[in-house]
Amino acid sequence: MAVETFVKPLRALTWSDSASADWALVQQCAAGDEDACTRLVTDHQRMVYQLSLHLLGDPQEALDLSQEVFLRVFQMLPKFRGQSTLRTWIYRIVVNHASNRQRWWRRRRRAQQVPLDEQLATHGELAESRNFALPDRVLQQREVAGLVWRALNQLPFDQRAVIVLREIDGLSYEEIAMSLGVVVGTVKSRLARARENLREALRSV
Amino acid sequence: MKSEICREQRLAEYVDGELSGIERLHVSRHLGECDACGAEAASLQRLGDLLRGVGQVNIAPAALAGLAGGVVSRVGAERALSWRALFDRAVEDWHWFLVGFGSVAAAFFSVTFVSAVLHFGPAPGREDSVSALLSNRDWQVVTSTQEGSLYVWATPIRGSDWRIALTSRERKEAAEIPTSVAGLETEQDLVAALGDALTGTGQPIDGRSMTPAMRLLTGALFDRLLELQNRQLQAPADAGDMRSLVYRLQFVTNTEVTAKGL
Repeated sequence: MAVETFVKPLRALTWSDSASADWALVQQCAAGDEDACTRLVTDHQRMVYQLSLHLLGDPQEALDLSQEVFLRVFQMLPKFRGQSTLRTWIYRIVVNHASNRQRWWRRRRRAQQVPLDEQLATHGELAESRNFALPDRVLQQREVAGLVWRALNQLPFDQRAVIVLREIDGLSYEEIAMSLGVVVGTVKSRLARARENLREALRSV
Repeated sequence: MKSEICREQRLAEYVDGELSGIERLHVSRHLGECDACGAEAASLQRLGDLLRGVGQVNIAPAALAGLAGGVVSRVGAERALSWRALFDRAVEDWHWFLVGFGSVAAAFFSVTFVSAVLHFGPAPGREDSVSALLSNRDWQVVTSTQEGSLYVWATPIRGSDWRIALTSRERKEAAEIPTSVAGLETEQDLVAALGDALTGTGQPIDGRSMTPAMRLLTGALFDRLLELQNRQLQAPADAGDMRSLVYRLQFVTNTEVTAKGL
């Protein structure tokens, strides 16, 4: 049997390089420098919005959450001690706020939820649909995407958060652990359960 | 047969790139030997690819256009409404009032403090002041060294023009009174004898220039004069005004401190 190797490109976390830049940016923002505040938001807004979208499944909710997250970031910025990267620290705020909003949403507005794939048709589009594929190919991709998003939305929040951070945002186990405030072992077990549930739900794909 | 790798489920870590080099090589070799693990790893990899493909959302540029501006302006507004900002503005508007109030308060507390110190604090003592000379009980120590005496030269307020010398010197030990002093009973006789014993000019002299006999005689004359003065002060008012006007003090000490000008 041929040996098939899976080589996944690793995102190198150059802590020493990014830490000083993060720290300088944080200090400028804490001092009230509006340009630095704007830079912090623009540097991280896509990351925050995308994670919010993946966790909540609603573009408008994701935008609201992004704004809420950045306001919280600026409130908490004086307490940032550089124990993790700024990116990981912001991820943690996103996950906490998304979890809170998810609970509130589940109680009050779940019935009004619009599937993400429908929302994306108006607010954005999937990456695959941008290539110059044939129309039936595009339709098939959208159908698959819809299945995947529904499967993701059916996962418990903890499992969804860990699988999104791992597979879509590309965080390492340690970064995920810091973002979720859990130990690496918990990350592994949640990841295994999430993958199992997703494979079960996407068996037909 | 399932290997250790199969049981430990290290395939997820392998697919996720979480294994070190030697571990990765170990699992990679195992995948070539174990069909089940190879299929499992391929399944995990496909799931990851699917999620990454679907998850990369192309966000419409307009969706995040105003996010940074909105957040920054809201942060600025919240900072402007914070208690600290309100306080800063209040201080900015009222700072002259605060400066004035602070100055008045500082002056009030300073005056109060100084007054309290002057009222309740200890009186300043200067050994060469007249009050110190008259009230200082420690000057006996000086006299015991034969170096100090307090001479008070005075004239009666409504008396004759003769001058008298008084002293309030006290002795620790009773000195032997010279026989020449014992017979002197009146103030005139005592002052005349004192003038003879000193210089005859009516001016006090330094105790250091006195011989022991002169010192003994002078001390005895002063004691007699003091005794006579005390008797006169205790006499009835109709006995005549015998109070004296002190016009000169000279205190001779080791350091020759002199108080003049009464």
